[in-house]
Amino acid sequence: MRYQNNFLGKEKEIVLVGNPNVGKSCLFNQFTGIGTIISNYPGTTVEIISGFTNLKHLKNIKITDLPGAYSLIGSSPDESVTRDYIFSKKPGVIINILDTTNLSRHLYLTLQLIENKLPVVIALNFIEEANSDGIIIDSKKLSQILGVPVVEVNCLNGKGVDRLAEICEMVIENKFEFKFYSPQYSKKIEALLSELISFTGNERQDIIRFLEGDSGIWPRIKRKGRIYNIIRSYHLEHSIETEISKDKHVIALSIAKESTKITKKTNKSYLEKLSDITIKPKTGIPILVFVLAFIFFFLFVLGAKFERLIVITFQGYIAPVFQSLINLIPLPIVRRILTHGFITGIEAGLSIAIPYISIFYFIISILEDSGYLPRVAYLLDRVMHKLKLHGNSIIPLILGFGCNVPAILSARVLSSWRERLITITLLCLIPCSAVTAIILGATAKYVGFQFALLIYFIDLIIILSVGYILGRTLPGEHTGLILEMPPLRVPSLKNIIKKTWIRLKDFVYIAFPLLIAGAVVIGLLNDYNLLLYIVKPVSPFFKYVLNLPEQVIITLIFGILRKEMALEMLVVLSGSTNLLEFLTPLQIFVFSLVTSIYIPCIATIAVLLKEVGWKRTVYITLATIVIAVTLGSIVTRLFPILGILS
Amino acid sequence: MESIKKGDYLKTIYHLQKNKNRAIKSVELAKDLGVSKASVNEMIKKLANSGLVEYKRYTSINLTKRGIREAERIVYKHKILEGFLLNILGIKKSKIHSEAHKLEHDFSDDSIKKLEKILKKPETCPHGDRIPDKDKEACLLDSVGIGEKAEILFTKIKNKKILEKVNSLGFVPNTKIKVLNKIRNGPIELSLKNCKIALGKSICRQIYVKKI
Repeated sequence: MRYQNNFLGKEKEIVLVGNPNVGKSCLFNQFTGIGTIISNYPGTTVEIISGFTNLKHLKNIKITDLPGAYSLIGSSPDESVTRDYIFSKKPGVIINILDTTNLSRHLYLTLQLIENKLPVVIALNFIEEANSDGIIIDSKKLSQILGVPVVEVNCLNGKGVDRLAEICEMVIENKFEFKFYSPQYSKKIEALLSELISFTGNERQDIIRFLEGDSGIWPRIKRKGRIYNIIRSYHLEHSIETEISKDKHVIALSIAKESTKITKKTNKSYLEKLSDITIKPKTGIPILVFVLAFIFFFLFVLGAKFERLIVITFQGYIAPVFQSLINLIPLPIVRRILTHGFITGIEAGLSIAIPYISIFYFIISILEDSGYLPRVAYLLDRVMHKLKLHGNSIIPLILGFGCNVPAILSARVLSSWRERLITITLLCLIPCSAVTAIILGATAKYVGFQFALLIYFIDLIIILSVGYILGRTLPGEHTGLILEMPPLRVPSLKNIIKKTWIRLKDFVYIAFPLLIAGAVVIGLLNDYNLLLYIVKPVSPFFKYVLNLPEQVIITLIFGILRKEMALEMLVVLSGSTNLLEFLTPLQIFVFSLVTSIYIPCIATIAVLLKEVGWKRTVYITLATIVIAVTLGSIVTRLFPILGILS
Repeated sequence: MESIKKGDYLKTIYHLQKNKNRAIKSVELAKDLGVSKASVNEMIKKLANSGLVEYKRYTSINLTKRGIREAERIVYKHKILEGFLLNILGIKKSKIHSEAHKLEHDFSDDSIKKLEKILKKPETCPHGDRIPDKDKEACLLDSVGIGEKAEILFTKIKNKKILEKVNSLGFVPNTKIKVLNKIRNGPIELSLKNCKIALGKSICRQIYVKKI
């Protein structure tokens, strides 16, 4: 049957589809230039990245990198987006990237695509790795069996990408003749299928999608009610979903075998040996501790140095230029707004985004591309079970030590809503890099390093207890860890830089407008001495409970903009660089402790709104305030009794 | 009389649960056995005391792992006896069920084993149902040790999303796996078709395998 590309002229779009960790984003980068757009799929928080092709053969065609999926059924929010995008937008070309080292598993998704007669072009990635494993693929044979084009590519160095682009162009121009392979299931299932086809009048591929458990096809299936009776009459050994899936895996395996030649397996590579070491708890845990220590060293030592550099440069060279431009404006109120917005706001943004966030993203991208992160999830799965979470939550939680914004966004990988909500709530309590700046800059500097550690310890206790309580009270099912452990790979620098850049851009879009607006509002309130009035009604309360002076309460408001601004404002308001002239050591300790927990910063609140809705955002915010104030008041009263810091 | 009844309850719950794939209500059990709800509740309490079922009042009855094993032992005996009655004694097929039902409680495990040998280890009973003998070899995935290989027999995952994910990753019957690493009381890492996958303990406890 000749396949007619009905999508011609409608949607000249290429999409990339494949299992997670198959190198999709890498191939995407090979196809596109710098300009990429991150957008949310309508109605979801799942992100899809689009761009335009920038190759010799293929210019200015929209290309979209869809979330990684193991199947088209849609068993997680990400997979549902991939499915819906393919079936509703009907892109003209679907590039299905496969991992050659593990062809049969990856062919499972391919079979689903081909079964639905979609314009698939297969890109075989990791050819060299497969060869060194002793696996040689006959891609012509594979193409013959499946009836779709197959191209060997190397996503890292771009080999084969031109050929892939040529094929894509052919498909777009309807010059390729598809002869779709039609998978044949076991006898019983085939009998069931033909009965259901004649019973419902639906097409074969729709019935198969229905039986696989794909809820997206539901509205199109006729006479659903009776279908289950028919299925039952076949006395299948397993559930119908499992039966279909089982057969499909068998088919995938036989196709893979037919097109593969396995020569003798070579010795374990050094990366495989390293992989074993990172997984075995005895060696894996020390490596994990080392990796985490390395991340924090980079962040705190380098990040802090980097930040100073940026602040000095900004204040020394850029701010004066802005200021002199602003001073040209006659209206004083406008001058003020611009000063706060463009000087305070941008400085705040730059000094978090550039040093901490970019370094953090850079390191995380390395960990991600090298395939190390799933090992962390595996090693810490048991610990997370104590909080009724599982290993997958650990990745967002680690990100939280850098910055809560990307961490909250990354919680999307969790498939259950309950686990996402718990993880996100805990994230708001994790001391991010800005909080660390306060703990180090105030407590460690003026009170003592052991007290800085004490704050971390208290935070940890709070996080564990909140997690413990939420884990046992929030309704919903406690699922479990299911995670593919990709082989360790040497990441490409180009890819990491691009990834870091895309994420940094996303952060800047969310955080900068808020920082600027927030800086203007708080700055103006401060200029007209209104801040004091706002604080006044509550300050006696805080003064009594926390035993902190009024000015400190004001600094806490600044801390909402950016946590470490609380410390900067404290220094400004105290009028001295030595905080001890203004506050007692105990007060400094309480101040650090409270700022480390109270209210998520404004950028965090923005993502919270986006991810969990305003109601839960309010709950989380109130809860952090209550916890912070309670802790502060306990410490204020308890420490003198115990004779600590008095 | 008492122990006969107990076995019947277990068997009925076992069959109902297998068909419905969920916990059983006491009403359903009463209907199936043709007894009053009160006597069902009384027996369920007894079964719960001996650790064979878990139940929530009036709502749901679930066999415990021990209960399942016990029920499967009875079903297994029943089916072997059916085969014996039909193939060796030549009793009519319509009668073998009730006859086997009477015998199943009195035959010892050893005699059944010997009968099974004589019948050349059948896989199905005369009615064509699977004898849960194979299931007796079934163990949970998390009982497989490091370096051991196993073949997946079936899964008992109720959460559809998890089932679909596990299916699409290739955890389907007849697939061979090898356990690579294990954390005590924690997840396991296994290889399946040249690919490594980590599974949490709770998922492993819903996948049944046969060690090979």
